[in-house]
Amino acid sequence: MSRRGGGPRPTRAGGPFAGSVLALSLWALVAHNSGSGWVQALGCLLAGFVVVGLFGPALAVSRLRVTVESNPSEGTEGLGVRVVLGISAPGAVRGRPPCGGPTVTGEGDLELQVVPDRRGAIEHLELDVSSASPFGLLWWHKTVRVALPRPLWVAPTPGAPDAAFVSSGTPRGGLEVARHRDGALGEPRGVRPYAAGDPRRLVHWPATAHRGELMVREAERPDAAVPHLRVALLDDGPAGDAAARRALGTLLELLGRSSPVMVSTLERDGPRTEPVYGPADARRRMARAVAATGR
Amino acid sequence: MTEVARGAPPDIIAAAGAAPEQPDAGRGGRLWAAAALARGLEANLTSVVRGAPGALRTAVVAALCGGHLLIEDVPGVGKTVLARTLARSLGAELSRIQGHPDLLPGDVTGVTVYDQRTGVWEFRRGPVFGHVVLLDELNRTPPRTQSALLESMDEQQVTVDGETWALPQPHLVLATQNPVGQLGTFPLVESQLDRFALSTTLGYPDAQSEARLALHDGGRDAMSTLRPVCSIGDWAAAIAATAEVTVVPSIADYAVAITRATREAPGVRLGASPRASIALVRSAQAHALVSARSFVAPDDVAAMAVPSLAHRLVVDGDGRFAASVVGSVVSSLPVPRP
Amino acid sequence: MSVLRRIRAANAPGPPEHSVVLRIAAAWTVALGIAACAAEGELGASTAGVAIVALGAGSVFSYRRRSRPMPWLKLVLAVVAVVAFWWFFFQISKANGVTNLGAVEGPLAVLFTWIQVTHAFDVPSRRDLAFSLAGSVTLMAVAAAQALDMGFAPFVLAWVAGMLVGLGAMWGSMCASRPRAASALVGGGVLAAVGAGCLLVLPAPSVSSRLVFPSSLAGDVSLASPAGLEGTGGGATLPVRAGSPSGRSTVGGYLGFAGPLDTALRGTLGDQLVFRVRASRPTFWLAESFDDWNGQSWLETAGPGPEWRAVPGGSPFGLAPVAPSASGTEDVQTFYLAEPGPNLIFHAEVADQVWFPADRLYMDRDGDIRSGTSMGPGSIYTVVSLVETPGAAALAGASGPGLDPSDLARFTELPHPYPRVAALARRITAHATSTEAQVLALEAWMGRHTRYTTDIPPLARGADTVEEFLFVERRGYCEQISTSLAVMLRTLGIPTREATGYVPGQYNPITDLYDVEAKDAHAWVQVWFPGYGWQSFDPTAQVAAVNPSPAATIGHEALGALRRIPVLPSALAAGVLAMVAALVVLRRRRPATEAAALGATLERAARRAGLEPGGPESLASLGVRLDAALPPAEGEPAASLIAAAAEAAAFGGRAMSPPEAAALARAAASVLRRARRRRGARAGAR
Repeated sequence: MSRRGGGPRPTRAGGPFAGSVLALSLWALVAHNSGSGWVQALGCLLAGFVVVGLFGPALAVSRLRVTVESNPSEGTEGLGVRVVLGISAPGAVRGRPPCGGPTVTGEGDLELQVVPDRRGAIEHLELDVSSASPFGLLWWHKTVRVALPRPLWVAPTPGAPDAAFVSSGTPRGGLEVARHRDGALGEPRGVRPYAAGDPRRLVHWPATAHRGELMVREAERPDAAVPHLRVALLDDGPAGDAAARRALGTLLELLGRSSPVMVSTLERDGPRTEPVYGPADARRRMARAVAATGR
Repeated sequence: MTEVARGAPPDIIAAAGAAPEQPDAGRGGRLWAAAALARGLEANLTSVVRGAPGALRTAVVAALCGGHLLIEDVPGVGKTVLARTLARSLGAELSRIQGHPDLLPGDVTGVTVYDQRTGVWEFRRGPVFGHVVLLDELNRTPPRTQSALLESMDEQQVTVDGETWALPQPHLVLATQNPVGQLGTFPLVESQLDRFALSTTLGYPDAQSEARLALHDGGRDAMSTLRPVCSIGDWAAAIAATAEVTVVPSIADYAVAITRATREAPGVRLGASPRASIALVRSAQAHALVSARSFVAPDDVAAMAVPSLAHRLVVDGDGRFAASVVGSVVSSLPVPRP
Repeated sequence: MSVLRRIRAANAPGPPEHSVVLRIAAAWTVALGIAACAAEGELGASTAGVAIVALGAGSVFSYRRRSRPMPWLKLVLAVVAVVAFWWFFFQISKANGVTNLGAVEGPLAVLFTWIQVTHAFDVPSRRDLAFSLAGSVTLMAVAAAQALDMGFAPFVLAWVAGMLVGLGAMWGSMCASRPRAASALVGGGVLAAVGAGCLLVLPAPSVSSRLVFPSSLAGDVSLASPAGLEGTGGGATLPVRAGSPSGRSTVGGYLGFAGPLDTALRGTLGDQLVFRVRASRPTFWLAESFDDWNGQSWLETAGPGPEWRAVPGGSPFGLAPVAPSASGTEDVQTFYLAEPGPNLIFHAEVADQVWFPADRLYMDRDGDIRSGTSMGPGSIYTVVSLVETPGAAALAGASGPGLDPSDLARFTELPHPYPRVAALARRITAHATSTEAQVLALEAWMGRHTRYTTDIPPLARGADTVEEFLFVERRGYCEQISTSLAVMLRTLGIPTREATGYVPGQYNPITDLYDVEAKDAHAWVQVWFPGYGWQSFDPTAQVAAVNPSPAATIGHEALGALRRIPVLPSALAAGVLAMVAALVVLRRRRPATEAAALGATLERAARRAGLEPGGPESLASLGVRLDAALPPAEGEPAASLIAAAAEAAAFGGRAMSPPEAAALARAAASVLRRARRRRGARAGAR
């Protein structure tokens, strides 16, 4: 769905408008005073070309509809992600802050690169949609706010590790997956689809071949002591983002030493304390974390 | 006012060609016989299994259209009773295969053994050689056995040691599946799910029905008095007659539109295949017979959309979400009207 | 440094343009511009042919080399362009100063053509192709400046089509999409509407005296006797003879452009185009005036001095008009000859200046102008006139110095007394107080009592034209009518002369030209008013006063066309058409089958009952809902049963029998009545 974010406006229209008016006035003056009817008639047709060329795009832009057909669910701040747009007619699209990016032109399905400039959930894109239809003489543009089919979670870039986040100990609640590192496998329970961060050794190849996607074994095992990272963000602004970067740095550091790491964060749905197995999971958790105050 | 308008429901099958007194005259007679069989079957099922009319109707439809039925539900809600009742009502014996992780393909299809007295290799038929086969807890069997089973279902034959054995006809497989994600299960692949014409869930019965079940030992005494409603031959004839139920092009278009719409529905990763369209039309024909009609009405298609499509979709959530996707597709598409 | 970099950036070739459609359209528009210039005579046919072939070759070449632009080619092309400019200025300076726009336009067209052709060899990018499209505008403009007739329209249409396709392809190439025919068509439609709107709103073009006027001769041959009238053997000595429809002084069969105007002759007027006139307002294009009436012919009286004097100087010739006042509004007329004409210079009264590219021009004492050379088709000359258009009140109160006595005698002289004519004229003008009123009264009388026709018998030998017309025939054409008016005025002592020439002709709002045809030849009366000079009176027809704008012209013609439409047959035809259309619509809206009709009735009932019948719901389910909302009483039909029957008919592949269909239709109607009744009851309860 796209929503109008203000009417169409011409892009750098001063020159074309002034030039057209000047040229047509001059033409009209010469045609009128030379008394040649065909020159005047030709000038009228030129005026038609100018009117259609200068104002046609306004109509085209106002009729242009843009939707986001698909988007990845994860990204990283400062790095481009590609979303697939559906555009109802030929035109050009560019992301606007906080998800800017280069312009793409075309029709139908377009692949647009947007660069989210901060961490968090992105549910809408501000897009700058423009068109010069039908003659390509002048571009008009409008800003639309387009809903994403699913939220794009933007992870922070890892910052410097900070020991203040970490506490050791066993959190309440069972650990879902056994640690394979020490070779002690718990009671096998079944298979489940692979989730980012699962150790490769847990992959159950027969089930994977059968199912067509990566499946991992599940087992139950008594709790083990794991490092515990407690992340509390100050706000959902720049300070919170900085804290999330440091927390991610810390988490990646911890994961380098042992996996999993128990991570407590506050998410929109409430507090979440779950183990993190790998970097992808870590980024995802830091993307979803919110501050206690800013909910 | 005519008879039609005044009150008694118009018996369309009678109107379609033959009077009820002459059940064997032409297409109308065949349809009439099949509809009568369907009604008897439904009455038998209702007397034993209580509290799940939708599932029972789906089971009857599966029996009439000759497609296999997948029942997905938690243990203990009467899946086996349903299968047994259906088998007995159709005049067949139920062969039952209990799925477990150690089940091998040979346990199902049969094995070739050496007879020392005669000195020849002899094929011992497995439990799959039955008219009505109950595959209990299908997703607890390992994938190898699953695929052996499902291929026999699809091709109506079993190949062991290079020899091909045809399965008895008609052949109806009722498979039960514990909800996906339960402990110790091997999920079924989409292509295998696609071989089931219909799927349904029984669900827990309401309090009244459950009390009645407790009182009558789970309907076992009702089962003991159950009479078959037909012979195997009648059943085969009914399956053949189902194919004769009229489907006009606008109805077929409606069914295809529903199938296609599932492919574009939000939250669906893989929509229903063209095989699903065929199954939808076929089951709608059976549903029309159950409703005592000689033609498929839009409501038949709508009623069979969830049972014949939901299990084939690969969706972001679980099976319940698939059913709601199909439901929302059906409720959003325009219905053909006269 | 930054300036240099900027220049380099501006000259850097853009990304190569791959759209073949855009390239073809660009070449097409330029080729059309060249062809149009050739068609309007701006370019020679061979030059145009070579240019178009070179243009095609250049387009193909630059398309093939689009990804590998050649910097040295730019340099070569720049040199060629400089040479072309140098040639252009050389041509202009050779033409001995700019005397005439036509002298510039020819070289200009050649210059534009060669610039476009050389440019075609180096159009790698979209910007270059856009320049080609824009350049074709200049070529078309140069051609349009010379276009005189509607023969230019096909060029314009084809050029507009090329521009539309080219611009559409340019946009398609900009956004990497296929050009869309629909948007090009819509754009073209809007463009045509805007163009037509501008054309209607803009005032008609007018010639400004601040410009240099065109004049050129084609097929000119010096005449044997310098001021003699070509084709008549010279002067007023032509014997009376039957007219022939061809010949320089009898263009299109009109015999009035000879030395004498013989009213006994009967010519037949053709409808070939004689010349086109670009003028600020329509007036009589005067060729000759006559002062001497001999009862059958108008002649020029030989004066005391030489009859024709050479006008001194060269083009433009200053005529020093003989009118008493040289203060009228300026009217510029340019004549474009389409047929070989007499060597008379047509003009609006009173000619002041003539732009005529010959050494000599001759003028007589009454202001008639002749050239010393013949004029072929394509000859152009321009006359600047000072037109005095006093209103009726001004003429009524006209005062000032009268004619000198010899002239007064010339213009009131009659060959014999005409007693009956004089008596008639006095009777008609009995109540007129001024000269103007007398003229108008006589005109009105002639309008009432005489009939216009060109089909009158030749005048008997010895008969007097005026007596014959006024008292015997009372039928005739402009010569008889105007001569009679002139003679009647002379019997009243009013100085009068006979004039011949052309009426303004048909105005074409597109070309802004008056198309004068042979049948527009005319004779009329000029009356002397002190202070205002000779004023034309046309007893035969009325003349529009001002140059109409295109909108007025088109509107007038449309109104005329509307008036010509027969009302009753059109109304009948429209009625029949409307009935047929209504039948078709009704047929289309009527449900195709009985089942559909039942469904529609049930839907209406549901709507009446306040149910929403439009949702995704089958008819059977709607029937059930209807029954729930409107429970049928005992003996009433149930909507669900009707719905089931309709579905059975529609989806069961079984046609309804007529009695069954009728019964169901009645049942459905009763459900509809029930819905209405319940609704009324609900409304009443509320």
